[in-house]
Amino acid sequence: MSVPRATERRSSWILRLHTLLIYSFLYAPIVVLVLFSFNTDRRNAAWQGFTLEWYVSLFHNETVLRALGNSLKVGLCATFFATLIGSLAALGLARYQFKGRNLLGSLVFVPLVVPEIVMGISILTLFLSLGIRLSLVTVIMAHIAFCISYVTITVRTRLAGLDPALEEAAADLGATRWEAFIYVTLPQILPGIISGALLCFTISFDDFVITFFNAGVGSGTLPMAIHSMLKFGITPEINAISTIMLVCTIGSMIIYSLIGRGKSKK
Amino acid sequence: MSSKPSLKVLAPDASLLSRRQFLGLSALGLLSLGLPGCASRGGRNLNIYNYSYYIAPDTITNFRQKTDISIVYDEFSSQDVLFAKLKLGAGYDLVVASDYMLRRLIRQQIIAPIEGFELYDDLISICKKEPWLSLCRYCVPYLWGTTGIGYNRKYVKATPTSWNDLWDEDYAGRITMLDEKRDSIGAALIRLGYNGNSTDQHELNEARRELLHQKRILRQYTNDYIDGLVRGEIWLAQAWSGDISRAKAANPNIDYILPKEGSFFFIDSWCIPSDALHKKEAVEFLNFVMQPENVAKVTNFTSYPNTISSSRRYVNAALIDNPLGYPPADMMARTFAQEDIGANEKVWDRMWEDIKFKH
Amino acid sequence: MGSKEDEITITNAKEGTMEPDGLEVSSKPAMLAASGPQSSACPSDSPGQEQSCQSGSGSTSKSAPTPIKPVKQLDKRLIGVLLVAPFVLYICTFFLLPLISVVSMSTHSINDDYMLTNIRTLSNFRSVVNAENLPVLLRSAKYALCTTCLCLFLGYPLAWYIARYGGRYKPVLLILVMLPFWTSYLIRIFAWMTILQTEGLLNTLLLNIGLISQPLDMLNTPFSVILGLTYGFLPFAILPLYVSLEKLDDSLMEAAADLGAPPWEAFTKVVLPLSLPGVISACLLTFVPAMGDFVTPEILGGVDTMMIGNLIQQQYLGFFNWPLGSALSLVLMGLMLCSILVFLKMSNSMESLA
Repeated sequence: MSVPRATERRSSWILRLHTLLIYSFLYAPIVVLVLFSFNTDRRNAAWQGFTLEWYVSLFHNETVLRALGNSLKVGLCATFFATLIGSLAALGLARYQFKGRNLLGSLVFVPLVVPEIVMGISILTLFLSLGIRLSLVTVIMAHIAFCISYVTITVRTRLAGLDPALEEAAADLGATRWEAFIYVTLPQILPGIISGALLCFTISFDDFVITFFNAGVGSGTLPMAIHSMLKFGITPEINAISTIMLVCTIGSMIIYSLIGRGKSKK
Repeated sequence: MSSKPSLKVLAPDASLLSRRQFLGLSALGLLSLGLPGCASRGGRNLNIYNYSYYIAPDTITNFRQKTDISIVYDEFSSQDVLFAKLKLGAGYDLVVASDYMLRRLIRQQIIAPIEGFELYDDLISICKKEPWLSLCRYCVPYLWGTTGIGYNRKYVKATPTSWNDLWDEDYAGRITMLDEKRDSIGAALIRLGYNGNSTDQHELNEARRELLHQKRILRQYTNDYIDGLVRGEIWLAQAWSGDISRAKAANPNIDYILPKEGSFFFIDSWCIPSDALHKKEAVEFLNFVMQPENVAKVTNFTSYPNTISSSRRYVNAALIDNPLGYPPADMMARTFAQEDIGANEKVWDRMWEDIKFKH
Repeated sequence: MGSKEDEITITNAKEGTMEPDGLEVSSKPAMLAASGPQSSACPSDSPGQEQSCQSGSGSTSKSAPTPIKPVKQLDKRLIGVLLVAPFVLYICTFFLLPLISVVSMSTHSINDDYMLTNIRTLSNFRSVVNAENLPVLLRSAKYALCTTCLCLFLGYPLAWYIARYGGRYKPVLLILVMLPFWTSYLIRIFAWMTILQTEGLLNTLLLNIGLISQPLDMLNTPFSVILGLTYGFLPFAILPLYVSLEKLDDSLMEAAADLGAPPWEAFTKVVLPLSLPGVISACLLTFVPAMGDFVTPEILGGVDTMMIGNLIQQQYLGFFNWPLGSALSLVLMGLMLCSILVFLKMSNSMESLA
């Protein structure tokens, strides 16, 4: 009995090391970009000295601020609608029988196989042929289109292993179908929905290609602003804005978990 | 009984357990929904689309102070992007196009003739001769520059003099060429002693062979070489003059030459798309930005020479007779324009695709 | 009442015939599990369950104890349709409609001025299916495959760790995976350039440790492209893997251990098959976007690392040859669909073996 315990311990040690390495791989560029947001060297290439200059000049950089605002609007709107539509579709696909269900199951994969650039251009052609003026709204609509599938797939993966008998049991105990969904199914698939929403926001916030084609005058997002900087090297202002966003995200996460802990203690 | 539950399913945020999780998300979603609608107010607007770093930092601000026109100023990184946006009608009123793009835009009637520009008489002499004389009906020449070789003195000991230096195997893996068919194929043609705008199939084949030979030692086909040069990743780059000026400001080891075999010069111009909604405002802006003093500020910031002859006295002295700014007359004599190759564009495209991807 | 019964029978029959469709694999456990509510109507639990269900359902409704059951089922179908309706509407408007226009575009030809003409032709496809395009395609497939494998091998243990050992820190660990991805991909790639360059952090580190004596030239090579792709798509592998691993019961592993299975065997026989839906999602979510990517090779790549996405982009933007670009994309999409189908079929048979 002691031998498997030892191997178990060793393997969990290796696992921990692996986890650590992957996290450092994920965070290596983040550390660099945060560090360089305090760098006096404008070129982002080598460490020269400490400064807060970029954080100050950032607030006078109209282009970057506007782009950030656009990115947030697009990301939040697209995530909200894509998560809603995508989760509903996942539920429908996994739990209900109807004509064309299998066909629909394959339809989910369509947005994934279309190369981004084709998607960008073809959606643009659609807008133009409908006479819709390009604006932030067209960007959001395009983003929802490529985000939905990610949600559906993630939520469906989650639903795949759940036992509908639980819901049925709730129904047998006198719960309406709606109650059964709220108290039994939803809590179980919530991690899937949240993962899907996270994926959505990440993809949308970071998309360059599709945004590029569907953005109108003045609706450029942060990735677009950064892309136009590539030629001359990205300015540390971008590092600064990324750092601020990171701090905000981490801060809100901490607050969220603190609130959560307070609640669970009660 | 039968339809009610299904309707409820469509609004999960009305539920009990999901409320905490969903409310925040939906509130955010709905809040931000209201925001994008604030695009256009009444009054006079102007939407400008220009290369990045291709205007003085205070030009837009100064113009705003002078007029009641509100400006949206967007930037692009390459002409391809511009052409795509114009072709699709993105809603810009004033754009900057390079010379070969200009001709395509005119042919396809994507841009309209410009009326009301007041400074035509002050343009440099080249713009008063054909072909520019007729092109100027559709555009206002803005900045110009040359294609040459940018290099890092720290790594490249012997000063480059010729296009041959971009074929030097000693610097394998450290050389980049422009990702522009007209410049890279053109350079290969000039190196072989041919016309840089050649349409002769035999000459083009030879250029193709040279480029494929060079590809073995090439690092990248790229227009984003400034950063690499500054960091010391790239040692030799086929480059545009003003770009190297920026690189030199960041790293004094960087320098620029015009190859002795000859090279290209280009003129970038302001154009007004045919579907522009604010043509009057666009011309108003042109009459402002092209004022000798204002356009000299642009030159001083970007290092690209401008097309207004009387602005020269406002330009930094360091940029005069400097290959990075206004090259000396003997150097200028060795440069020529990228001419319209008409139907041969497709031949060049196929060749470029073949060189870049198929080998 | 009678007509409703008939309808149910018909749909059930459809279900039975369409079930072998490969694309349904990821929801297959759900399908099998979904037999729960029907179990009163169809008590058989044999592998040939679906067939017996479709024949049984008609007869059971006749002998059903209460007449409410079929009504409920019809109602269920309606809900299902309502649930997927917005999705279908959206996908049709934003994918199928534009896709039709892409297909139509691919048969156009352009004149010397790059204007579309009304002459319809298949020559675009002829120039796509050309031996010269093969190296680009193979290279893209190679890079995408490397990326997918790396993402799986790097992501699976991490997802496993979070799911099994994360405890109450699970959400935090998970968010930590996503967090780097809320800063723009472009700027992270740019940071990678700082790390990988000749005088960069990695080379300095390796030189100081003494692992290398000469700085390595890592930037603008296939290595940097695959690294960039792996970095870019790793969370898209980790998330679905986590989702499928998280719901595994700890007691499963313990039961396997109690039955004397060594950890490795417990893993391959119990955990891996059960997490297969997650693995499939992970593969799809990394392979497909990696195959079509063009920004990474453009920035991190060199002169010989151009991928098919770059070629498409060049056709669309550089040469403005939309018909040829459309034809290229259609061929690429076809190839991707084929590889997905083959992949799903393979994992399908793997699953049934397990």
